[in-house]
Amino acid sequence: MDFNGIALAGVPGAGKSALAKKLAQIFNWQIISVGDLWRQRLHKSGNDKLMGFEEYWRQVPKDDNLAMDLQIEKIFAQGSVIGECRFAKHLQKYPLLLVFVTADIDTRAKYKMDKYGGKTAGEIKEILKLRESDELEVGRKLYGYDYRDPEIYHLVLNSAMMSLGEEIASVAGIVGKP
Amino acid sequence: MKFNGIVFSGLPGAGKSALVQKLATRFGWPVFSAGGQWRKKYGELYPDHRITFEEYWRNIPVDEKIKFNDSVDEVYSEGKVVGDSRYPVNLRKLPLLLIFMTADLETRAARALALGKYGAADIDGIKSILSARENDEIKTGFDLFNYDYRDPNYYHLVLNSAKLSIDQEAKAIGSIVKP
Repeated sequence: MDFNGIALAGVPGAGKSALAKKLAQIFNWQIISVGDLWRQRLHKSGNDKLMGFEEYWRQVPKDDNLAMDLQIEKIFAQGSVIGECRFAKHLQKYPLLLVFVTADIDTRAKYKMDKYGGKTAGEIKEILKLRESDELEVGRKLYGYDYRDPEIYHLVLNSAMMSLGEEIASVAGIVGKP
Repeated sequence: MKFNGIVFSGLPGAGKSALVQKLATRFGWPVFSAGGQWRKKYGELYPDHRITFEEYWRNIPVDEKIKFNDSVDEVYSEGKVVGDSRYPVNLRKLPLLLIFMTADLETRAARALALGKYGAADIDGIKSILSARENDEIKTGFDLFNYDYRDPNYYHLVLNSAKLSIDQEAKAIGSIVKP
């Protein structure tokens, strides 16, 4: 099977964005991020001064979430794309390599130290755990599955045990040389 | 990191052996199979297959399983080996690539049926054998090391053999391990 794009899902803070950026460069594909689209939407709504991203996403209505996923799906369907998405099961019908990125919570908290400047590792862990349980709940409510289930994906990468270079090598090994 | 060997764990019937063979040939490394060792012992103890392998394995005392696991660690510490080990949790300190093989139950059962692995059992029979084995293995993982051996956080990589061809699996690994 030939893959014409890559969809990355994963637990919060596992390093999806860094991997997506690198792969987009290597394959020279368009990059999309569902997280960024939500952040833009929050910014446009003008509420970004009132609430954080986590709080905002938690109260997004079900229909809005489904509509967003549909919009993302249309982009993935065109191919030549590398994207981050939360819920990838409905993308199985396209020739996309589905990858899940994981890492233990301590490692993820360490990765996010810069982004959440000033917060302690313990505080960041709590934020990440809350996001993961939010995402888990939305996944169950919207689609009826646990988005961390390895059976949904072609492969799962553990960014706590692999370097970015090794992650790229394994993905590129499957997709083939661009 | 430079890997000097590869260890596979995975769900029963997820295709570990086939991939181990392929990689051993490719790298010119010997195969070390923990499952194979247990099966050999079983064959010696029960040449008449009086009890099934699953029953035999389920009743091996925890101490014996721990001792066996330690002897496995020694083999891997030398490197240049590709093999399978159900619980490679202690192997993480060695420069080994740790891989978990998964696949949905339907696919695993259909494959075992095609290979005639479980004799006269039909697809539903094979599914219950595989599920029972998985449950036994989960329980043993908790008994021995207090962990769920299916947790992706204990491996570098999880490969889904229901969605990847064996060539794609070998390519993913071959791009990381360069002996």
